[in-house]
Order: sequence, then C-alpha cells, then structure tokens
Amino acid sequence: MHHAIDVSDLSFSYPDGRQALDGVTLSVAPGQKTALVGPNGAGKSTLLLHLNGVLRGEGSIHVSGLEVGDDSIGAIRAAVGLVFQDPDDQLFSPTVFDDVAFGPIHLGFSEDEVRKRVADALDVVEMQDYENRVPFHLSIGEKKRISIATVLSMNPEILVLDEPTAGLDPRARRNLITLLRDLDMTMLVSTHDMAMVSELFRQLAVMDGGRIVREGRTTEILADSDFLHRHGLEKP
Amino acid sequence: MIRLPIFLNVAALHIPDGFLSVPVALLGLLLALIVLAYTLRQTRDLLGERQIPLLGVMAAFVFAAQSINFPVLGGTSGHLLGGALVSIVVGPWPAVLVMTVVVGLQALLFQDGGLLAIGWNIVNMAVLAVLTGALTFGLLKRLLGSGRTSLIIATMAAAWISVVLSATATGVELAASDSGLLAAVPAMAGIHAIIGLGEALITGAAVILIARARPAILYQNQDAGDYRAAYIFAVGLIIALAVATFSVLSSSLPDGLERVALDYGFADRALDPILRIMPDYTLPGIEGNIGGIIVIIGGAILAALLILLVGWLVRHRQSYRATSGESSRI
Amino acid sequence: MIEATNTDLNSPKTESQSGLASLDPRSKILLACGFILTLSLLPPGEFLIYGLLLIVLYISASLSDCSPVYLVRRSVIALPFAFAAVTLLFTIPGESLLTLPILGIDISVEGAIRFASIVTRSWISVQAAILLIILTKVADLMWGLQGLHTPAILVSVAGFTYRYLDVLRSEASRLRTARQARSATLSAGRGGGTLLWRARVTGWMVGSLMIRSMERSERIYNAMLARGYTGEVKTLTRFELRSRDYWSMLVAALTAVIIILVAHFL
Repeated sequence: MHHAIDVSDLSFSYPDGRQALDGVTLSVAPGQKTALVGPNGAGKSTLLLHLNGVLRGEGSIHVSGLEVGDDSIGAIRAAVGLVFQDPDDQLFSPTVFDDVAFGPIHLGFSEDEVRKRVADALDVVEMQDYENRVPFHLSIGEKKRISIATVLSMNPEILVLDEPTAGLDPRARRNLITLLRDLDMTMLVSTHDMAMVSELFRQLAVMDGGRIVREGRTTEILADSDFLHRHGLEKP
Repeated sequence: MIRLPIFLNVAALHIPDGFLSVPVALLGLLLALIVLAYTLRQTRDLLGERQIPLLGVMAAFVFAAQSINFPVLGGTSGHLLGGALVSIVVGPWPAVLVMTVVVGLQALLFQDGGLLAIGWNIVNMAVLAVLTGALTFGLLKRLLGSGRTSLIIATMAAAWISVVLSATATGVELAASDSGLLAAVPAMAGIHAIIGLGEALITGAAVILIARARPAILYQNQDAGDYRAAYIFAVGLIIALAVATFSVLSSSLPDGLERVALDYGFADRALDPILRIMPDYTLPGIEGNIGGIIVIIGGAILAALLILLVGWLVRHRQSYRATSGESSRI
Repeated sequence: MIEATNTDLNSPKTESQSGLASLDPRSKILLACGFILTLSLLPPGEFLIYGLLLIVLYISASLSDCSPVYLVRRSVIALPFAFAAVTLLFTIPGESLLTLPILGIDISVEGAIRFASIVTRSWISVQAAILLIILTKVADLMWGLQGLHTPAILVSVAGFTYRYLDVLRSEASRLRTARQARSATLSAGRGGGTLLWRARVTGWMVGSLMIRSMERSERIYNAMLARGYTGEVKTLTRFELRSRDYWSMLVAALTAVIIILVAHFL
C-alpha cells in the first residue's frame, strides 16, 4: 500500500537564491495525522506549497500514489486541500459562498453539485448561515473555519494546514482543535502550537534548516528535551 | 491660496453626472472602450493567469493609499492619486486596468464620479494619467541614465505631469460641454500644478523606498510589456489634448479668458498684453461651444485612429513572435 | 476622497427584497443608467421636470424599503464638485440678476439658471446611483456587470479589489496609527517636521503598503492555484431575467422618451 504523502530528497531555492529546502524526505500514512514543527524559516510553508504543486523543486513527491507533475496537477490539487496561514489570503472572493464554491467550480462540477458541496462543507465546519457574508466582517476564528471549508468542498483525501491556530483566542482555538480531531482524514499540519501537537497528533516531524531532522512518535520526541532545545522548541 | 481647501476637495478630479453634455459623455465612453479593449489584450499576454489577483490587489492598494492623508496646511490635507506610481511599478498597461477598476468602483460604490461620466473619468485618470506618467518616466530615465537621482527626478516629473494633464483634460471636457465652464480649464490646471507637487513628492518617496527595499519588484516589470505602444498612445493623447485645449480656450477668447482672469483675481496688467496678443480665434461660421465640441471629437477620433493603428501594428508584429503567454484563455 | 466606512457598503437596506430590490441586477444597472441619461438629455431650466423625476426616484426608493432621507444624506458627498460650476454664474452673459458687492461682478439670470440646472441634475443623478448600490449587493452588482458584457477580467479584478479594499485599508490605518504614535503634534495640523518631510513619510508609507500588497497578491495567487485556478474566475448563475424585469424596463423607457419629448417640444 502506498503512502498518502511521500516526499523524497526534495530541494528548492527561491529565485533570489535563498535555499529553503535541502533534501527533504517525509512520508505520511493514509489516515494518519502528522504535525510538522520547527523554527520560523525552517522551510515548513515552502514544503507545504510543494505538496500540491504550487511550487516545484528538485526531487520527487508522490501524493496518494500520483507523482506531482504537469499531467497530474489537476488530480493532485483535487486530492490535497491546502489551507494557508492567513485566512485573508485563503478567502479571496467577495462572499463566503463564492469562496467555498471556488474549488468545486474550478474542478468542473455541475451547478447542483457545487451548491450541495458548499452546503455540506459549511455544515462540517458549522458555518451554515454564513453563505452570503462578506469575509472581511468575520472574526479570525470564523475565517479559519471557512478557510477549511473552502478545501473540504473539494473532497480532498489529504488536508494540509499551515499554522491553523495562529492568532486565535483560547475559545476559537479550542473549537478548531475539536474540528480537526473530528475530521477523519489524512492530515499534515505545520504549527508552533506544541500543546495542540501533544493533544492531537501521534506522529511528529521536526524541520530545521530546510531538512527534516527527526520523524517519529510525538511522545518520544517530546520526551527528548535536549533535542527539542537544540531546535528551538519547547515542551508544552 | 484661500481657494485651495475647496479645490483640494475636487482634487480627485471625478466628474459627476450632470456636468457633461450627452454627446461629450458618449464620446468619452467610446474612447474608454477602445483603449480598454486594447489594454485587456496587452495585460493578458503580459501577466497571464496572474493578472487577476495582482491587478485586483493593486487596485485595492490604490484605494488604501488614497486613504493615507498628507497634511498640508492648517486643517487641509491632500492624498495620492496614484496613476503614475502604479504605472512606474507595474508597467503602463497593467496600470491602466488597475486605475480603470479604481475609477469604476469609485463611481459604483462611492458615487465618486458619475455613471455616464465614467468614460471620461477613465480616460483622464486611468489612461491619460498612467500613460503620460509612463512616457515622462521613460523619456527622463533614458535621458538621465540609471542612478538614484535620475530615478527620483523621473518619478517626480512623471507624477506631476500626469496629475496636471489629467486635470487639464477634465477642465477641457467640462468646457466642451458648456462654454460657461471655460474657467474650469485654467482653474483645474492651475490648482493641480500645486497639488501635483504633493503627488510628485509622495510618489518619489514611495518609489525610492521600493527601490531600496525590494528592487526586484521595481525592475521585474521594466522590460515587460509594450512600452512603445504606451508611448505612442500617450503622445497621441497629449496632441489631442493640446488641440482641444487650444480650441476650447480660443473659441471664446477674449471674453472667456478675461472673465476667468477676473474671477480668479489675476486680471491685472500682467495678463493684459497676453490677451491682446492672442488672436480672436474661432472656427469659421461655428459658434464657440460647438466648435470646441467638434475639435474634441476630432482630437478623440485622431487618438482613436492612432490607437487602432498601434493595435494593428502590435498584432502584426506579435504574429511573428512565438506565443509564449498563451497559458490562459480568458 | 473615499472616506466611506466599510459599513456603508453593507447597509442593511441591501436585504430589502421589495420593489426595485427584487429585480435582476442587470435591470437595476440599466434602469439607473437610463434614469441618469434621461436627466442629462433634458434642457436646462426645466425644474418642474427635474422635480418630477426626483419624485419618481423617491417613490421607487420608498417602494423598495429605502428612505429618501437616507438618499439625501448620502448625496452630500457629491456637493464639492458643484464649486466647479460656480463660474457659470459669472461667465454666461445675459440680464443682470444681481451685482456682487466689492468685486463688482454681475450674476446673470441665464447664468443662474444654468448653474442651478447643472447642480440639480447632478444631485438627482447621484441619488439614483446611491439607490442602485443600496438596493444591490456588491457581489450581485459585479455579476450584473458581467451579464451586461463588461469584460470578465475587469469584473474579476474588481471583485478582488472589493474583497481586499478593507483588508488593505486597515493595513493603511495601522501605518497611520504608527505615524501618529511617533509624531504627537501632527494631528494638530502643524509640526511633524517640514512639509517636505511629511510628504516623504507619507510616500514611505505608501511604498511599504505597495510592497506588502504585491506580496499578498502572490500569496493569494498561490491559494487560487491550490484550488484548481487556471486563469479564469468562474461563478454560478445567480439571476434570471423575469417578466417583471422586462416590464419595468419597458415602462421606464417609454416614460423617459415621453418626458424628454415633452421637455423639448412643449
């Protein structure tokens, strides 16, 4: 059986010459929820952008058995739901409905199917009554939930989230953690929220300097305080 | 200077509905449509699928930048118009689209500028301001070479000229609609010669900051796009504007200008000789107001023909070129 | 000049579903433009007919749950441009209405009529445009424009602009707050360095806002790509023209023609 995500020896440099990824190798099993932690600038966001082909580096990436490339890009983008850190980047449409419908429309679904998917996705994140709202007027917590709905409406196999709890107040953070726990799908989540990591994720990957420096069970890694200290991380 | 606060309020140059006669308004709409059709093709080839988010956010940026006020005197303040700035940073054709969207939304969402008058408002603030800014910037950069000083001078001159020319054009359009509004030409041009200084300073500082912090942004667009077409366009528009201004002003001289002079309190001996030297010029057999309209129409048709010619030339040249920007069909 | 707050864009009136509000956005746009065109086609001095059209506008507004008082209140923002028409009072030759003291300039009757005509028509037109935006949600308005063959790119770009208007304006206001925090006397009108210095500071703020905006547009582009974007922003059909749309446009067009003919020939 293939992995849901299989990255091997991936390297990437930005046009300005800065090397962001330096031989990353990482795999995530189907149904598994994995956290990705590491200091700012470690390359976490860059890695996530590779998972559905927004950025293309050297090396190979397989997502649910498909190699990321020009031919597979449509299927890959349908399979991987990527949620960006700033919901104001993720929610770019004039209304919530348009935003949640954007993915399904561009995947080519019929009008009825699009409406159904939008309703279902908003239902999952408990934002049913927000269809006609304007994103700007929502709280950050609401925006985050709707950001997740914008990819759930595409029915992805894998959910990839970039710092989902950043900027949330305690109650919104709690709601979001509950939502992520209840979503039964493969998940790769980059975060600084170590409390959430130990609560929600059994697998952990630690990134530093453009490489995965350790991959394994969360409890084991969090117990190794020397290792955490070396990579600027703290035990929750 | 006492009049300044009042005119700072109209500094945004948006002509509301009711001021333009219907033929003049329709002419503006036609001209705007022609330029936009051309511009849309240019930006599609230039930016491809990237253009929608980039230009959309840039237009929102112009709104936001206009909300940053610039305290001038007492309680008054000015703000940026932005045509030249956007033109210098993202290139002339994308800038025309950005400013068109800004002008359009100002009219639709905020009633800043009329719905029928939208044609001329687009021509003034989105086409004339942007393209003359690009022309001035390009010419001066070529003349002065590449250094920081030359960048500052070229930027400031571009900003000043773009504001003054679009203000003058606004005045001419008003005067062509109603000869009684003749005073708008010197008033608009004069006031905006001062307001343009603010525009020049702000634009200059903004471009310098970008050149220091993110030089890549400033130069990634320098080779992109058909600058020559933009320059030809700009020259055509300036000629049309000059012809229209001269004819509108002279069609009711000396009567009109003298009154303007009276109203604005500079009808002293200083102006008298000039008024006497200028010939009492009108189109033969035609009443002043109509003469003005005819000349504007003529100028606009001239500009339109130029535009078509340029479009034809460009398309012809492009058919020889490998089509690299065809990734998107919109 | 744009000082309207974001709440202005989402006035509760947009929830109205009666009268004009229930029409297709395309009809509403055409009706508003037609109304303004009619006004512009009227000769100067026909104040009775201007008044009649104003009453028509107010009745339409009231039937659509929008108070005319609200229209009047918001129309004030368009007044400054009336100053541009002031010169009409002096430059149109004719019978003297009154002579300004001190300056000794005559105001002619004809000039006064022309001035009043332009300002009145302009004021009524603005209220029609305000009614349009009150009765149409911005997203619907965009959809309507596209339905009326506005180029799709222009409408998509405008959609993004509308979405990021307030996001970037709040970024700008954070920059303004930072500026104020560092120059205490600035709000009093004077101080805060020379004029040149203040212009440069404003320019730096504008420049850094521009950089941030361009970077944001890159991130948005990535977010779009991640959801299957291929260069075209597609939307679903929202409205269909119904018989009430055709009827209202027909009635409006006939009324307009009659009014224009009456004004010119009676």
